[in-house]
Amino acid sequence: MNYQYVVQRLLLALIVVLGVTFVVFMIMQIVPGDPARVILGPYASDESVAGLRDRLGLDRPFFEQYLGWLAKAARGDFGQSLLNGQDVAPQLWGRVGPSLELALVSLAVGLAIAFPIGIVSALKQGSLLDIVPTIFSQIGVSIPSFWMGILLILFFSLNLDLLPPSGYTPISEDVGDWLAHIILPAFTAGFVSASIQTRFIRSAMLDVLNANYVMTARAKGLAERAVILRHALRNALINIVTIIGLQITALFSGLVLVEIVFSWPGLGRLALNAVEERDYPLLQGAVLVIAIIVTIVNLLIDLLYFLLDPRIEYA
Amino acid sequence: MKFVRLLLPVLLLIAAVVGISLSTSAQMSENVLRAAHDAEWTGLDPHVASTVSSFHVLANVVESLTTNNDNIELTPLLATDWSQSEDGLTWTFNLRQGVQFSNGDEMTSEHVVFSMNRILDPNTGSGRVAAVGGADAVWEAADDYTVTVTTPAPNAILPVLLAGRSQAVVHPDSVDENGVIVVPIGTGPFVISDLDGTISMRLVKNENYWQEGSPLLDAVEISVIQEEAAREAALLGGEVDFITSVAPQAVQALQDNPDVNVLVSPALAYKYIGLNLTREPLNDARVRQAIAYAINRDDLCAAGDFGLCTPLYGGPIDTGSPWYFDYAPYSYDPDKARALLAEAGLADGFEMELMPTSTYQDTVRQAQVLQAQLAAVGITTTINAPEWAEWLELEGNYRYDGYICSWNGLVDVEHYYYLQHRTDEVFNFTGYSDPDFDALVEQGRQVSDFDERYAIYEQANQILVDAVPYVYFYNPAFTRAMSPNVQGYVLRSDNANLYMDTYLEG
Repeated sequence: MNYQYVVQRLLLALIVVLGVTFVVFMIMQIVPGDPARVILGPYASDESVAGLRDRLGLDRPFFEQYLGWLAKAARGDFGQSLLNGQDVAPQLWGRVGPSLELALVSLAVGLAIAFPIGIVSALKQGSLLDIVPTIFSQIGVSIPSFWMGILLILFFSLNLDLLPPSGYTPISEDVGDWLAHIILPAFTAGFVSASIQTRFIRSAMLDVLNANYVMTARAKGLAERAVILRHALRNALINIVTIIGLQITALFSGLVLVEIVFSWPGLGRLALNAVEERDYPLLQGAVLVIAIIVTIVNLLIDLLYFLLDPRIEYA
Repeated sequence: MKFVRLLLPVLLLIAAVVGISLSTSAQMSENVLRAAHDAEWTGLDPHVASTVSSFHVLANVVESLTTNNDNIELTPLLATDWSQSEDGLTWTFNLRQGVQFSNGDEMTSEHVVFSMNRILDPNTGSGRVAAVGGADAVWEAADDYTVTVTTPAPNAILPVLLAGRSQAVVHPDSVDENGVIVVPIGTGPFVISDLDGTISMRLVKNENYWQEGSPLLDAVEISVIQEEAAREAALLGGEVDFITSVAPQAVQALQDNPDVNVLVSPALAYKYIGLNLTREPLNDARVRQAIAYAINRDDLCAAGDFGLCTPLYGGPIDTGSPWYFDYAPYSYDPDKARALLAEAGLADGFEMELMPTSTYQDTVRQAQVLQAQLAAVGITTTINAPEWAEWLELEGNYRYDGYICSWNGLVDVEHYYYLQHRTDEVFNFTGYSDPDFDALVEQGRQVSDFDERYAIYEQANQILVDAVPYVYFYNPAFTRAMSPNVQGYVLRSDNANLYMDTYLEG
């Protein structure tokens, strides 16, 4: 493995993460809305708002505020939430686990649906086995996830009384309960993601199925199963892995709605609330953590290419 | 095959979960209420927080000198009685003795003075200065159990204004080194524990609580479920015992369900559109009256609150209140609206912008109905629905034509008139100004006799309704829903959420 490349990528990742925090900090300053006003409500006097702004340090120059935040963040101190005064760091750490769990399980659900369907669709191109999944995939892409989440709650929680409609139990406390709570949100997010992945897997498979080496494999008399799994799928995986990488990033943004519908205590819900309430320290912390996660995922995906195709080299 | 190996564990997991969820469905602790609130609390500093969601928690943790009982009548709480000096400038409050904070310290006048001064301190940034007597009020401890407050002008209704948990008496140890209260130490029936950000907490019985035998519950486990359907499903599925709000469109279905008790109460609140009197043509009272006549409030109520409300054809107070004034000129009359517009030289109508906020979807739905209704009389409208933070800024700087919002938790008659409409008052966002009205609401503050006050505010109400800085839509309703075994909970028209007398049966 090329270590120089890894170091380069890590440095680049650092710059990306810093850039993201800077841009978000800037956007939050530019968009209208004053956290002091939000905290005190529409019916607070200007004097009260000014007093609170002063206490929260909101009147300091932009760069002073940003650099001050950065210097503290580098030492692991993310400050206090403007709104509830609680330390930001513990609030963030509490949310990272649930978010990652939901993202990973959603991805697993998505892949479990997309892989078999995508491959079969490609193999039976034009048949019912291809057309029906394509229609479902179109539906999956079109259904808003929050709406599907509500439908799932109504059906599985209310009508069938099988799964809890919302909430979260830490996996360390009770695995069964954790699982019961994660199924509906993970399926909601996973179904949308599966719809997209199915299409990519199908077209990636179609590409390689028409390639010369597949024809060669068939010509030399290999069993169809071996042709598909060992030759076609292995080569299609490179494209598929790229898509999965993008999907994880997309999943994280899509999870915001799913987290709200299912009251899942994740980072997305935290970040959305922070935006609405102009809680800069909380939002900055959440953005930093999400940026780090997304960057790491992308890095891992890049490194996976080495394993899948040793011929790949990075300049 | 590979994907079979992938699928198999997933299927097994699902099977396992189905089994588990079936076996653990009836798990419940003895005396713990599981409550789902409808919004995350936005801070737990009673002197600073302004949201209903924060006070749905805080009302169980902190207490004020005076309070309102379930019938919204002024009653003693931390003060046992109070009196006003002859010149009207000084109020004296006698404190209840033997009240302990949850940390065991006894509450004395020193804590009251500390708390009131914290509200008055501009560095606290409290929005409740007026409620504790105004910026120039002086709070002093006469002895351990007596406090006095002196104001530059007579304030006849100070005990009424003090009745709110935002005027809470807190222990000085509540305040951290940043001057913030993250978790208040109060004298209320419950103590906050296991606080997880703004999504879950446990209210634990305050063993030092001064009211004998209260609270009845050992604890309340509070979670937040914002999504209406999920919240109702959690109640129906037995995940929680109690929810703080039911979507208006779901009330009927839940009322028909024998496994759920639904409480509905008319709210001491109103929804309205505030018109910008600093802009043309809205500075012409005839134009504002035309808008008031052009509105079909039943349709608005159906759109905003699915029919769960009482229309307001005049002032903001409905017939159920002792402060109802019988003056309701604005029945739905589009012809009259068109005539008034013609009289104002706008026979061809005009254009204006409606400003609801996307954060509160009922205001957006109202704007859409309003748009159609106003179009019928020739007023062309566009809708701008910024999110709450931006909305507040536009509203506060007169950068709107008409904003759609609501006022909540209004108890005394003054809450409906003084703060919003007196000239240059800090909450007057419409630019309305009328010396006669100002004189009346000033006078109303200095009188404590009900009939005398009623006569004063009746005049003020009429002036205001004719001038129409606000067009009132309706009083909404508050809702709660709970399992049948939840007893003793009272839904109040001020929306206070008190778990003190709640208990679980069976």
